[in-house]
Amino acid sequence: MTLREKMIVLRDKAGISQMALAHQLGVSRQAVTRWESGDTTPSMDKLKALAKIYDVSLDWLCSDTADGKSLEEVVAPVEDNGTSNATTSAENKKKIRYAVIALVAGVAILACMWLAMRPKNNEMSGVQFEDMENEIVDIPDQGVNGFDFEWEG
Amino acid sequence: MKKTLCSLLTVVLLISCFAGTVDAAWRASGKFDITVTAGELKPAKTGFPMAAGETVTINATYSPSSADIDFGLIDKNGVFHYLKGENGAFNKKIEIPENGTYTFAVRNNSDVSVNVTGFVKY
Repeated sequence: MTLREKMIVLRDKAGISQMALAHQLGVSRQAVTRWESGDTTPSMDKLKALAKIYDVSLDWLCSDTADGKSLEEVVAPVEDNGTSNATTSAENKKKIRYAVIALVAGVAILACMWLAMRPKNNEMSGVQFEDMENEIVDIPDQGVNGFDFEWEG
Repeated sequence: MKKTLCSLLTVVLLISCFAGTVDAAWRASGKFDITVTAGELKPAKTGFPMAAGETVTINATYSPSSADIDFGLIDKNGVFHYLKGENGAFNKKIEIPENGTYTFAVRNNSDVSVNVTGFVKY
């Protein structure tokens, strides 16, 4: 059992919320969340305080392989439930995170497609011939009176 | 998380680049700088071979801006389809109704010579 799992189980067993624990330790709730998700590890001072709050030894709290009898006594009643809850919670968070990312990506792609399709501000919709003035004209000799373009494409 | 955001940003940038190229799909763009004498209809020497539904964009300025200037296209039947410039400028996109060769032309209805500059894209 890892430190983070012990912290989840012990808090669950103690029946206190992350916020309450954070308040007792003088840290933010996010800090407790990060400890319990394994993103960060509490400092030695906080570990000592945790050991005192949960009435367990610092050695046991800090040791990943400490599976002695006293540990089982402390942890066993809620171990399965606590561990699976923690795992489920982490998985749910991951799913939510992926869903949010997918949603943002979808919106971004749709926005880009809309930008690609819409006419730019400085462009106008095509004018139809029927909306223009029409007049039969005598076309001057293009070879003599016509002008050349300076082509770029 | 950072990797995902970077990937997302890359996708958005790629799509934006693609979006930028869609509007640049012109066959040709030609500049002109001409003087049109009073009452003159001045055509281009060569016409544009166009298909139905394609567009010709005309963007021009002229001086003096008070002049009465028509910009348009002459079709194979010799019909000049035109619109008037306003306040020394003309910026229109004309949609071609049927396949054929169309000749860009500028007509000066004023009694003074007018200098016209701009470009045509098709």
